[in-house]
Amino acid sequence: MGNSTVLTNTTRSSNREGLNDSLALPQMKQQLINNVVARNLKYASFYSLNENSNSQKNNLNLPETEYFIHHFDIKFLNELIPSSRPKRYSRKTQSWKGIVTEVNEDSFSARLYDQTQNDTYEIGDFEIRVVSPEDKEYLKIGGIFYWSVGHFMENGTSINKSEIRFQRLILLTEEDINSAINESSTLFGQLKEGVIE
Amino acid sequence: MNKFPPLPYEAEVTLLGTGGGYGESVLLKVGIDEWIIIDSCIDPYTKKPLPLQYLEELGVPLEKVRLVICTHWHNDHIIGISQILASCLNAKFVFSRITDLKKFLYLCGLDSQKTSKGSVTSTEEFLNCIKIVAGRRDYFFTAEADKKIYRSIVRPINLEFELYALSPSPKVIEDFTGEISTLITEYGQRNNAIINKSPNDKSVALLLKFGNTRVILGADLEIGRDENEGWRHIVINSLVCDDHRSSIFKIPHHGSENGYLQEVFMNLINEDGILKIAPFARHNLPTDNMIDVFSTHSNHLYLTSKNSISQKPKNRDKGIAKIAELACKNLREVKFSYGVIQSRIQYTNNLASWVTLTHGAAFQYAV
Repeated sequence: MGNSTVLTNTTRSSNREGLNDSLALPQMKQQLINNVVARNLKYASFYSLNENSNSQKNNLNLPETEYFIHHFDIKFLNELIPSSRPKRYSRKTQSWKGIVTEVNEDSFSARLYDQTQNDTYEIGDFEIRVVSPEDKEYLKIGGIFYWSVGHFMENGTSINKSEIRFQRLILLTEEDINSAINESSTLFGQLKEGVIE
Repeated sequence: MNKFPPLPYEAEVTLLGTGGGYGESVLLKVGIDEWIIIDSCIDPYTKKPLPLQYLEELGVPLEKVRLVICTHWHNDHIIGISQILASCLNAKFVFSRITDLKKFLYLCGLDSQKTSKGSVTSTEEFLNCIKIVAGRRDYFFTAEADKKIYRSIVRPINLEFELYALSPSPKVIEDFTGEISTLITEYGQRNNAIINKSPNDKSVALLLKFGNTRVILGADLEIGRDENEGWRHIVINSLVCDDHRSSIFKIPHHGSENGYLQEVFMNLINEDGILKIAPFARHNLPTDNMIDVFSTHSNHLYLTSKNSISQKPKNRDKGIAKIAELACKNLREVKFSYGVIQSRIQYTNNLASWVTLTHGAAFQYAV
């Protein structure tokens, strides 16, 4: 799986000590690009959330953008934006990879694979409203998503988060398809069916 | 459960179950020392295929495994089977007949390409088995209704063991050729994992014959829509079922209503025969109603585990668990419940009957 990340920056009007105090958005975006390239990540997004506006999303579409994995990585964020101030985040996070098994009018069910404890799996039901409007088109049986929950502190304020991001379309290139055709033809050519006497 | 191997003149039919979420498997010991493994299941903690673990516990060398049968092609049903085939160097690989195998391999190839880009594989186990067969330059074998897939003769008593496929029926095989194109269109090039329930109608039910003894292994075969499919097809059209009824029946499809056909019990199964079920707790199979139905057919009803799903999520940090609970209703762990139902019979003694023992989560249902 390729490296990828989504960074979430929460800024509240009542508390302007968020990270975009220290850097203007274009500068931050450039730093993100630099860091993403340096880390050989395939995709990154930066969210600026403000009480007075809707979520603004800035995707950094890199040449190799192929898929999107949600994962909020505060540690990475701190590394990314050097600051003389003490780090203000501590975190506990947990993520699951989910496969949609059933879609109803207001809810959906999924099989959930814990990304930190790779043994037994879980099942669970979600309300469809927890899926962002832009992800709804991917909510289908067999759809793959990443569910992350986290708890962290920002200047003494406790913040809980739960986010679901669906995997975008996997676009198989002509090369991929040709490769599948060639491999299946080669494999088929090597097979011989036996007969029980 | 006997933790020693069966005697040379004993046959064995053992069902391994996991509670449903991690597969199920049947092991057969036929002839003097030949073993057949049908499907697979794993221990989710060690990832080890349980049929291999079972044979190792008995001290059976893996070269005694002659056949690995895959009754489904979907990963969910056969998890670990490629590891079994790779470990059993003398085993032949058997799977449900696919008319256009080349096209099916193309579907597997697309699935494999998607997996390399972050999707979830659905056909990897099957494809890996095919690659093992090709790598060994070995023959593969296919199963379809009325086809013999294994034969062994015990000398000097000349007792013949024969294993026949009871399904899939010709119509189901024909229909699947068209379905492959649909699967390629719907799943092959998209991001979705294949969540396909239709493998059940291609499922390979089996009939084991030796002397006057019969054993039917129902896999996940459902009753079918008409006499051209599923158990309806077998009851009406089977050429290999004879007047001897089965003394052991591995009940199909986790004891679901969809797999229950009364005519099967009326025509093919001994009254009071040994019935074995591997429950699938996640789907609440078998239901209490179906347990009652099966109880009317036999007092020898065994289950590999209770049909009860945990109502709790996995153990984790309490703070995280609380946040998760707010977003996801009914988050619950699919527990691993390993159970073994082991039956053995001395086949040289005409008066002998099956001795059945349970192990782990398995138990005999008390009416």
